[in-house]
Amino acid sequence: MSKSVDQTVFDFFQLLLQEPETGQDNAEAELKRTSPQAGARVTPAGQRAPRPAELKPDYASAEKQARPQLDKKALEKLFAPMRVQAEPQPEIQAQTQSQPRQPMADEASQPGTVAPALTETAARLADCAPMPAAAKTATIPPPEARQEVDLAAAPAESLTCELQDGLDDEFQVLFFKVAGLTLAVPLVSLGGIVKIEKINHIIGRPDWFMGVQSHRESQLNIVDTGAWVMPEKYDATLAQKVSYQYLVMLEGSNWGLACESLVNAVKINKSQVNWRSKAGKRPWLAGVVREQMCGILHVQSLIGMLDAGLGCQDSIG
Amino acid sequence: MTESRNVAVVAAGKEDAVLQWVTFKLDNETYGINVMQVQEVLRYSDIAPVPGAPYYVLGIINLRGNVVTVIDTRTRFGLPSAEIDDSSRIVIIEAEKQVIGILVDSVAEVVYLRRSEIDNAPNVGTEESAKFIQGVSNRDDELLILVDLDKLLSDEEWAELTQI
Repeated sequence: MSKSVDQTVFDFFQLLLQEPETGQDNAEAELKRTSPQAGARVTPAGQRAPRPAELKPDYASAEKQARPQLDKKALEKLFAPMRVQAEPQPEIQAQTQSQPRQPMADEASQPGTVAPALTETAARLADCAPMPAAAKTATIPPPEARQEVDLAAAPAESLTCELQDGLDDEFQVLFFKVAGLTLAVPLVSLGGIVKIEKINHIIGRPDWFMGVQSHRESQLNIVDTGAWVMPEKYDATLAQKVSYQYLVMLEGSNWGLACESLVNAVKINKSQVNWRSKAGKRPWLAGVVREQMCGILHVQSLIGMLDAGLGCQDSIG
Repeated sequence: MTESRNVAVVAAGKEDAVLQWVTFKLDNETYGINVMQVQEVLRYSDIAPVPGAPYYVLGIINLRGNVVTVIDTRTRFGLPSAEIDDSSRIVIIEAEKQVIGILVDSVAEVVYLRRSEIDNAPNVGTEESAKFIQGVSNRDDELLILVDLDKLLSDEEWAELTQI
């Protein structure tokens, strides 16, 4: 991927992670702010802020650039579900059970032996954008912390439960690109692909509403996907560069997401997705496909938002 | 039984009445307005500006001794301005018991549409101009956007026009 694409992808995830927290999350966040120890217990990565000296030079310049932009809390939040997902992996359990826990510095210097999957993911994230040192280190939380994370995540599973229930363990998704950003839609929720031909602009509609296109005696409502998904990044310059070619139709609706290109349709396993664990303000996002590092859409929720005329960042209800 | 069926057919026929629409172009889109509200179509003539008039008012014209306010439809619809050319027309309409002119890029034709051929416009608009659209219709692979002239201005704005 080119740098600009990486930046866009990372920006996208950063955007997703910067939702205002509510309820328990707020309490946890407040706890972290007021009591660093408590915060470190929940997010052990934070304990490793004084990183081994040998690793610092690699990231020093990147950290300088990243600090003003990145939200550390958001990044910690990003890593938390990954640790949860990674926990069931046998090699991680074997490692933690059969060997005495090594000092943190050793873990950092031998990341591959600790959790290959995690370090691989972390490496991908590191490729996407510079991160603060504390967030860069992907570690296995101590058992007590993992238990806490699991408990916190358990009830949240139900948020995407309905979608997950409708999917086989292995299901197909279509990847498509918009302004350098890759999105995925489960094929079961795909209404079709239509080539963009003539778009009729309708006055008085939001910026993200491109217009309508006639198709088989009906009108397709065209969403400017870039403007909808990342309105704060999608300025006039970026909009000019984008050349929409196809409409990714949402199952059971007249809504179509404009996209620049269709990447491919592949089978993935449910376990390859970090399913969204908090309702937040983005119910349209079902989760993140780890390998492709892209968001997977919750089509029914997205349709609901579009029907209600809501943008990506509009509050629901 | 037959009688009730006939009544139902007549009722359905009434519901699916044919309406005539005058179509005009604005920014490469085709709009339609109810022919019953159109009084006449004029070539562009000099419009006298009115100081202090609302932003969407171009000015006034003298139509056979009557002063008619002309609205800049592009501005009202939130569209970019365009140069006046040979195709530009002023459509004189009656809405909310007032006679006004609307400046359009060109006037196309009168079309016949069954009520059943009119679809609802996507209801996602939040801007004021979203209210103007009463429906859309797909005709000869071209989308016709039907404008509700009565909603072109708010009650206050219609009242304000009388003061010009």
